[in-house]
Amino acid sequence: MLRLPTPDTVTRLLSGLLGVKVGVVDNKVDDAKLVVCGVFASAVHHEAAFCLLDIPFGAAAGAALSMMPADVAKEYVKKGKLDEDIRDNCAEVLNVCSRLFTSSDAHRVTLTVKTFHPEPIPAEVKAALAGSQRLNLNLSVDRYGGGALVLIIPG
Amino acid sequence: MKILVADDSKAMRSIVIRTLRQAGYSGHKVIEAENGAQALELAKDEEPDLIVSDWNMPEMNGLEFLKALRAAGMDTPFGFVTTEASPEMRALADENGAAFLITKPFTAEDFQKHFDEYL
Repeated sequence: MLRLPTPDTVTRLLSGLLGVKVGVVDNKVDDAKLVVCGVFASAVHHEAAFCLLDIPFGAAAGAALSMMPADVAKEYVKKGKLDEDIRDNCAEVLNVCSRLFTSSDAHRVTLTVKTFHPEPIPAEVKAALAGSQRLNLNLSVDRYGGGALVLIIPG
Repeated sequence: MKILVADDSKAMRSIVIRTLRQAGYSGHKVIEAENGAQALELAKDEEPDLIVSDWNMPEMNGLEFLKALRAAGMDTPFGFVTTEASPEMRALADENGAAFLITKPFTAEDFQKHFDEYL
């Protein structure tokens, strides 16, 4: 059984992964800006959960993951898209976020699809933005800036 | 000593190597592979003292790599560093001769707890 995590669980996991403090700013998220997407499969559903990021959060988390200078994240925010060098980092952030949907190791949740702007997010994810259980977080990544992360369990 | 790090994410390989240093394992030679098949070849050619591998990788996954390594008669200490860690995966890792399974995200202390025996 998948479930949405608490904001505290999210910030603890991301702080551990990125090696810098991650905090919650608020829960204001603009769905139109969620252009980085991860689709997760469970043992019973191909589309068991989704994780969406905006460019500012993808840039901040991606840069922090491999300790790139904070200016790199700012440049990507200005540019409005993430290039190959930071996409690999973002994909790893999405991969580790799979742990947020389970309360124990008893259930497997695997990242199966990743999309990055300008590629559109999958239609089923777009549809799930309305009418699903979701956790909206506007996060700050110490020194790197921050942005939006949304976790969704469709249905 | 020589450590082989296998992960399809370049970023994660960098983080594993950084965490090895943070855990106090500096001065060891680290070799990298981006999938299980490449890791198997490197293991045969370079004969590392410890192998740290992701589970989900293209070409050959971590479990297949471990099985192929043991089938080739190599008993190099082998541990998984992976996102998923279901009881079934832990059992499979154990049955096939893995020394440990560390889940991401990990800390330097996690590495020390498992690596001190080998490094």
